[in-house]
Amino acid sequence: MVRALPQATYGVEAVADETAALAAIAREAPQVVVFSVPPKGGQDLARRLRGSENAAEAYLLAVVEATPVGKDISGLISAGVHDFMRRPFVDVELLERVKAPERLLRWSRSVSKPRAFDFSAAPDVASLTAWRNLGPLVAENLGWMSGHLFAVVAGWPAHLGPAAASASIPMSLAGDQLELRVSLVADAGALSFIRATLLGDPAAPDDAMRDALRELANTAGGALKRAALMEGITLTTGIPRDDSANRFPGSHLCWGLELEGGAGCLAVVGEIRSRGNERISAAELTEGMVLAHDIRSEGGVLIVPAGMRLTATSALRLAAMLGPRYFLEVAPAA
Amino acid sequence: MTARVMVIDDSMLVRRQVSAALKAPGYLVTEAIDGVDALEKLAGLSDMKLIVCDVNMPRMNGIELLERLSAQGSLVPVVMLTTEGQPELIQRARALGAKGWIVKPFKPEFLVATAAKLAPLGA
Repeated sequence: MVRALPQATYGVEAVADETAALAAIAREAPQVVVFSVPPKGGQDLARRLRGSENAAEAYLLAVVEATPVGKDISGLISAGVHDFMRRPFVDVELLERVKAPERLLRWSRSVSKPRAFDFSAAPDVASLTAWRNLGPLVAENLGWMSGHLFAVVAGWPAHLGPAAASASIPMSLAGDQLELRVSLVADAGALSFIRATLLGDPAAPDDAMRDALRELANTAGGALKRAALMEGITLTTGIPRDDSANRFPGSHLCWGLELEGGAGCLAVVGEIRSRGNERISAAELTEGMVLAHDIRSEGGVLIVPAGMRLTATSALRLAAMLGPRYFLEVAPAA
Repeated sequence: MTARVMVIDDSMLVRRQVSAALKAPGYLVTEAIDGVDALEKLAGLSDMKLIVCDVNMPRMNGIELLERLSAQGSLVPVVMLTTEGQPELIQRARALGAKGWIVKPFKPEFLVATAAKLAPLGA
């Protein structure tokens, strides 16, 4: 099998048994693993190879004897094998099978549309279960974090005292030109609660308290993001910030999270608005912008995926790599 | 015996919580506020046994830091601690050598168990 694969094109390592194979996979993180299926336990072997360290992205090719029954093949596929070939085979057949993942990637790219420009497929974020249940979702996560229960009340909370501080986290679907924001508004009682429980110091300074509130907003955004992912929507999040009183002109939902015994209250506000992406030169990229489409090399290799929110480091690196004549579509920094 | 751990997060609260959890069993903790700060501090510390790192941070995020560490040939195990749960991001981190992925909010005992596995105090 080694002979069939040109050494100039492929880095090939041959091993004689499972132990050596697992060690080689963990060490090299190979793109393709070709293995002979033993007369018994082939499915278990495939499962162990698939589950081993650094095998998550490997393409598994099983070599089987001439007469395997159908259920054996199905078992191998269900155990994580991508393709199989029967003995005996000629060198060129193995070579072409090893090239298969590259062909599949090219084919996949040729049939997939860039979502950034497919406005007809824009998801309705407001209809997501995760969005409609944002208040209870956040209450569950903050309760888990603080070790205390919150009573959730739909709508703006009547028991919220004068707003003492607030924090928010920007989120977006860059390709679909939607911007979201999840904010937490705390009254004085809630701030005392944060100081006593999360910071463990009733006299903690204001900057520590504001940092804690930003982290709570981050936790809220993360909870929404993971729940939305379960419904097939990938949101990107920015860096949490101290909030201002400015509200989006778009739609919004809110809930009250009331502390036990009326000790304080937090308001959770979720907002959505549409906004246009910008087409800019790569030289103008700055921290916080979100890429609206994939950036690929001329050979089609993915360099940076759509939805990535740029840090200062990545903005500088992309600007230097792409140059000022490269134009791309971005969501502006939130 | 003890072991030094670096905690990288832009949130003071998270750094505080993670540090408290790891100091309790005996780890020495060095804090950094983002990837840039971490690289500067790592350059002066040769005894680092474990890195616990956030993903979303200003200046240099956790994935970019992993890329830098990988390029430098660093052998210090890295565990990501983040609100993110996107499979592509987890795969990317794993491909860059991350040894674990813990979703916030986290259980301190789970973090300590992970640290003990990757950087045993008795070693």
